Amino acid sequence: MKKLSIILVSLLMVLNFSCSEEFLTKAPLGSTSENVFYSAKGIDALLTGTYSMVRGSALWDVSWGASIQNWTYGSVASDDAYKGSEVGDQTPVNDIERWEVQPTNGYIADKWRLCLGMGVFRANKVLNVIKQSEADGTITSAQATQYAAEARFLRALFYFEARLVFGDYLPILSEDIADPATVSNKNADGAVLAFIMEDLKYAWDNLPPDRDGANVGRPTKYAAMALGARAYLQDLKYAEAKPLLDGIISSGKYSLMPKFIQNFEIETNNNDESIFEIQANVNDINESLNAEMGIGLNWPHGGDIGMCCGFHQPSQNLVNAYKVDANGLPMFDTFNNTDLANDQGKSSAEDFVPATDPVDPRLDFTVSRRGIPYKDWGINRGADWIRKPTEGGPYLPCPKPFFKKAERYSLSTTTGWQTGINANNYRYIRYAHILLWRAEVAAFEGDVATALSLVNQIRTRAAADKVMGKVKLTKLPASVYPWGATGDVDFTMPAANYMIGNYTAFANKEEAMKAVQWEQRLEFATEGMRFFDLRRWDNLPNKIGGKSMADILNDFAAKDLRIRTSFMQGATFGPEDKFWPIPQGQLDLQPGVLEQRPEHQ
Amino acid sequence: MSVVLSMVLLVGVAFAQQKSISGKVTDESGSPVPGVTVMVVGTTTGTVTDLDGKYTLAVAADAQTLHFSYIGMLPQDIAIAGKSTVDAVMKADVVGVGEVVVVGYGTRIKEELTGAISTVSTEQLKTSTAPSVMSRIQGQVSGVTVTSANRPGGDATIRIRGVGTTGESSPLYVIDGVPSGPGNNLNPNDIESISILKDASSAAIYGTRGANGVVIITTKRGKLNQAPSVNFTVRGGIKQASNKYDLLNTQEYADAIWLSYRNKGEAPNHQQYGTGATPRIPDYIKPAGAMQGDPTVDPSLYKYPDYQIYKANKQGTDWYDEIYRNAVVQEYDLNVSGGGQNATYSFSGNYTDEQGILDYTDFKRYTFRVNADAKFNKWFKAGESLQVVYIDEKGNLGDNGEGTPISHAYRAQPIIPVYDIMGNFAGSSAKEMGNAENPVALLYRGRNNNGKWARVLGNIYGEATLMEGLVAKSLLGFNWGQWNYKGYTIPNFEHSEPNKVNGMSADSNYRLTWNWSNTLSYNKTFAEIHKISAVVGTEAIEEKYQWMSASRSQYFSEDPDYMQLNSGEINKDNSGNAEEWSLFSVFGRVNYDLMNKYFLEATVRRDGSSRFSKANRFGTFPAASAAWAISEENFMAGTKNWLDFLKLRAGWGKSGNDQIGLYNSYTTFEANKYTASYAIDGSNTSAITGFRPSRLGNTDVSWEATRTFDVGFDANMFGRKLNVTFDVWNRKTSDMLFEEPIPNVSGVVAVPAINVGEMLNKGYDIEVSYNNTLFGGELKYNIAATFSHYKNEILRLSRDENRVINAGELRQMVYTRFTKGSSFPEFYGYIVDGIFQTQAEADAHADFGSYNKPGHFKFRDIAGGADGGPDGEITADDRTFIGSPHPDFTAGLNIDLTYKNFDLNMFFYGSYGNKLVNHVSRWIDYGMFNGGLSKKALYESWGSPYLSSNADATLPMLDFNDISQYPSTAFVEDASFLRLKNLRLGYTVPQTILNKAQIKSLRFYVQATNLFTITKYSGLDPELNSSGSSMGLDQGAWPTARSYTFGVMLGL
Repeated sequence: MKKLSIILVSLLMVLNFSCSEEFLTKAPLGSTSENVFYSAKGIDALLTGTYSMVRGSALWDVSWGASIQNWTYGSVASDDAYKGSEVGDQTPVNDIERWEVQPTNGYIADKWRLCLGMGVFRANKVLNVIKQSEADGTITSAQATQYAAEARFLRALFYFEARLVFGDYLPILSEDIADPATVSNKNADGAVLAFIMEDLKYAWDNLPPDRDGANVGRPTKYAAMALGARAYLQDLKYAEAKPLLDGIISSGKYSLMPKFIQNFEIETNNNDESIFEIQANVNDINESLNAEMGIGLNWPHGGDIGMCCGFHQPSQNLVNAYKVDANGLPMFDTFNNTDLANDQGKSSAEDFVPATDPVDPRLDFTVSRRGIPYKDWGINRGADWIRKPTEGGPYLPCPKPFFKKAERYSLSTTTGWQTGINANNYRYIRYAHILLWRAEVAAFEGDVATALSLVNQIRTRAAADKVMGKVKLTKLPASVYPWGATGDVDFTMPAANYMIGNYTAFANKEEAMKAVQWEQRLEFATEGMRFFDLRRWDNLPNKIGGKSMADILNDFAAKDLRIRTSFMQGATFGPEDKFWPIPQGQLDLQPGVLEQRPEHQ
Repeated sequence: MSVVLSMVLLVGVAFAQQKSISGKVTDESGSPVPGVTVMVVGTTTGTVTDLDGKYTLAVAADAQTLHFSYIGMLPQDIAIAGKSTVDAVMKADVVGVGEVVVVGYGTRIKEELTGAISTVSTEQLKTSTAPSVMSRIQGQVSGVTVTSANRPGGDATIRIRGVGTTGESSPLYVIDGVPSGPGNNLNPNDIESISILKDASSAAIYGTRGANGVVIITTKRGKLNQAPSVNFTVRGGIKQASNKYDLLNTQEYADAIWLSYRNKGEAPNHQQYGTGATPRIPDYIKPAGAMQGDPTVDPSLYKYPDYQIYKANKQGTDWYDEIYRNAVVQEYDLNVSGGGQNATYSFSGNYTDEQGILDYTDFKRYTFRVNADAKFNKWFKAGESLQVVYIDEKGNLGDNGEGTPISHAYRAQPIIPVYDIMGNFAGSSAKEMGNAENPVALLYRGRNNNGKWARVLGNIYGEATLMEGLVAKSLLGFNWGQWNYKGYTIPNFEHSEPNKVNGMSADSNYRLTWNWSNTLSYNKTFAEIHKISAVVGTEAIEEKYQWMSASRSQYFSEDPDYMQLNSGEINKDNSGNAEEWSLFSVFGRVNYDLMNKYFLEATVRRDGSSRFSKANRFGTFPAASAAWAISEENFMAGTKNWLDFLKLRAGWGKSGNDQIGLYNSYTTFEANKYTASYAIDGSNTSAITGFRPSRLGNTDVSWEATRTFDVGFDANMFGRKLNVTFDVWNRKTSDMLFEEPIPNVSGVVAVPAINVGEMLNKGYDIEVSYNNTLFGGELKYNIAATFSHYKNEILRLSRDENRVINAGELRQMVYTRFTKGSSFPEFYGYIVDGIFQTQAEADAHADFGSYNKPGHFKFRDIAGGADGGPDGEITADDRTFIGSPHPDFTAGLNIDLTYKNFDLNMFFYGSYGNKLVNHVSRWIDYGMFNGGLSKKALYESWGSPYLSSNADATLPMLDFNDISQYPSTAFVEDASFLRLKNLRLGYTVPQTILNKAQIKSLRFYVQATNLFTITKYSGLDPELNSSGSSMGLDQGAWPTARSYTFGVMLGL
């Protein structure tokens, strides 16, 4: 019996040994390896994963600093908008707004991370999988070309975005680079742009001319050309941009939507004016993060609407820019001398009469101000709807990406705390861009007639629509929500004194350029372009209507003390603030490889 | 050396034979005691009793006295007095020597130990009322740092001898032979003993899992021939919060806001307080700033949720008073044990209900245990252990985060009332009220949040005595746990950032671990003085874990019974995954004791783990240790009058850590609906799922190894009244697994840990106890102190010498950092050299944009220059290490007094030299958000009219400047503390009374915990449960509760 036990125990131990090889192999569950993607289906799956990065947000791998809408760099850093909210929240944006960004700023780290670490990295992965699949014969070479065109379009887009923020100090990473960590970010002049254009040229040579009805989010040939044109314009390469713009116009595939606002409404997502759109969807997953989390903070805070978190409020300077003269034309030099009347410092219970000065009708689609109906949310109540007017000014967060009250929960998120997230697509490039960029080319060339006609085309469309609903109340009883008693709002009347006229002529190319620049501001305000536009125009002979970028921004900061009494005090914009520093965290990880931009060293 | 000594001894024996004496040594029950040393007093002549307790000794004819000694028993001298037979009855030592200590895969007698092992007794576990076993060992043993979470049922973070790695540094727990964390789901009354294996020589038998120390928990078992014994305990009492933040009331708050306007040079302008020279406290805050009589506050207009009306709370809401309560705690415990001739049993049932000190929070635990052993014949024995635990916890238990009820209570402004005029919740939706949640509402709406945790833990074993001294044992253990959680989202319309759609999410997961260990152990004493014990074995462990999570929103009714997943209408979301790992090991240990004086131990374990690639799967972990009971040497005979026992110990060992995640060697892609999906089809409500590269694998990675060297001694003095244990140790982790960060351009994917780092912990542990009596023996007392010190240092972190890792990021600010030469982690930020008093002083200082001015901090310029020195500019380069969360030492002091039938226990615990970053200060002292402000902000900030001189200011000017809030020495506070953790007074009813009622024992006691704390720390509690790279960041955690309990213990 004892012997039997000994044998038994020994046997058990041996059994333990013998099965160990199999027993000790545990592969990860719920994930897979690269080789399963060497097929059309696999490439589609990886491409979708790459497309997903164009939102400029990715759950919490990045937070709000990488938004494709560039509300921080393009808008808050410019004269278009304020960080908003209150000073203590998202302090890295204070530094962006005050042009005091240090290399340790978390927002710029987000932008680098998303563009290069997620966007470019994934695009390169796809390109390699495409090559391998083609070599394996699992896809045809025609398929390979089509897929590669999409992947290269996306790679160009991520590089374009990174270049907006960091300039040319980017490592150039093609899919053939074995170890991207060894690639320096010091480049020959024009090398980054050339890399972008090489990708885009490949894309426009190979992408289909027409939008894929089943997959409207895929880029077309013209999307690639449009992005190419914008990339050239960053360097004022007008001659190179011109044929691309002309090609898009002459394709006849695009037209301005009848109404300006249709570029900012969910129901007209992917419309005829749209050239490349960032697709947003909600309520498929918790927190609806497949919409644009990058602007997740930028919704009205508190009060009746009550969302998160009151960031990105339009500036008074921007509002003033919509003032027009008796001819309905901009007041180029005097617009910011006095403020269009605002309710700063007034509580909602106090009397306030909105300004009766004539204004461009695009104002009240771009800005929401007190006493003017706000989409279908009711009469803007002023201070009651603003998180902290003394720190963010009197205007609601920039409303272009906002949705209608009627769409709440069906097209906006029902979960999470960024409750303004909605299904409104961001029109990354639309036909109006093409027309005004073409106008800019014409102005530069001295072709004032073309510039005039294109600018007026945009202004004519702008005149076609205005916010309706004249509010008769000067003090809003808190009891009435949202439209007041019957008769308090006359919906047959425009909400304000809207006026917009076409230019009759441009005296010379300088005047044409000035008008084109102004028009771009009015048309694209708060869409994250202004800072970059000022930056490139600063290199024109006549700069921005004769003023430098520093003149404009420092003047904006000085006069802004009328609204926010101290926030911009001591903030000075200089040439060293035109590009943001390379993130310190990445410099630390690639010592001797990455270099800081010289002006930030 | 021991060989030489034994030779000498044997020679001595050979030359002195003249007379033969024999005898038998038994214990008090009459059983023979083998191994007793029998010596002729004054000579080197001696022997050891055999297995039957018998001895024969040749002595000199004039020999007078024999000395009998045995570890764990009282030594005694017996006169020979001409007899040829001298028997002895040995009595067990009263102070617990001879105690059996559970070690890895076996037991040892305490005096035989060669490694650093501390034990915790059942009595020590009673000095705390915490439901978590590991919370209760705080301060009871040296070398162990315990920080407890204070939420109901809160668990503790345990670090044994410092922090061994930047990865997971929790010890391995083994409960009744089954690897398993006790968490908060073990009934402390079930525990027979806890052994803490602190050094690698004792932990090496656990191989790859022993590097952070091992905690072996053994539950109670019956004993053979033991009459049934029943113990019934009832305990009940209340718990209260011990602290709250000192915040401004409404008038003070308004004054502070006015002060801030003045400081900023702005005209006051507040939607509630108006624009005057002094703030006007309104009658209502919603509608903003309304006064009584205003038509907008007419209650007939009230419509929930569209038109709420909030009255101003002019006195100010004390949010802490609103959320704190007297919480009721109760416990009922029944423990039964006994045994017959061939079988033993022990079973128990326990119900513990611990309400939280915050409203609507609760922790209920039900535990059942059955342990049984049966002896079938002379050579075969089998048994089992089984524990069933069910935990039911409720409410919002969020801890140490800015979104918890504790934190919203400091974030909410005082003027906000708890309820609006109709009794619905009021909140920050009133103007300029910031974005705090109403903490009362948060707790109320979370009252049905419910976690249920069931666990079955146990083992079954068989044990065969194959031959004399050779025992084979096979144990199959299992540990199964199931967690279910339901969390509700209830609209919070009163909030400034409301969530207006209700929802419910349900999570569930299960974890199943089994282990099968087979051991052969051998115990034999040769030639009466060579005692050998050895164990060899194998063990296989496998764990599977699977989780699922689902949620829906928009429920027709908010009745929690109605809110099931099926009844949610939209936003149907779900997720889940699984993981598994396995381990296979062979191990062995040999102990050799010579004459109960010289002890040697050698251990080796070879582990194979699924966590590593095939090539690196196996690792070997050896250890060796030795001890010398020097007091038993003849040359120490002169010290016998005061030194009862002294043993010197030394040990070295290597053990491993495999806590690096499971799939380190695999490069993977995954489908991801959050970060790889896109509505490429233009859908507004669904996205196409895509894939992303998710993980970079590394197949070269292997174990992290920790080598510990430990030297120590155990001493008993003055008739075992004074007992001292001292250890000094050095613990070095090499091949430390570090997730070497990769640059973004190499992909934002999970990165593998690689064997690159080195971490050093050095320290010493002291345990001292003294017991004696006073007043002729009527007053007995026992004082026990523990003292632990460690110093942690990273010797090497990464392949890049200069690699720094920033962590502990809160609100976009980095608070901790670690790198080569630092401890893990340290606080990081600017050095503040006071506050600028004059413009001239500010102008003269290193440039900092527009920040420098009177009333602002003077940040020290330390770096950035070409020579590495100051560059005349304050930049991110000027940040440096500014303090450590690690204590210089922690100490416990336990005092027991017994007088007649009364007993008193006092237990103090203290920590010295540990710092905390008070992140709450950023909210309430600096006004990061528009929320509650501290008294200091108004009365002690620079420029405050209440200060007689600005030189006395403790805070910079109240202007909400975000640069003043940069991480700096201003936020690092000394969190040293001394706390009376326990005070208990008991009365045992005299046996004479009980005998009549056939009651074995009856005891009443009253117990108070955490009666006082001495600290300079300004936050709620200097004792913060935090770990890893965010260690020491106080965001507002549940404070230690004070409790008062009454208990009855009845034994039958």
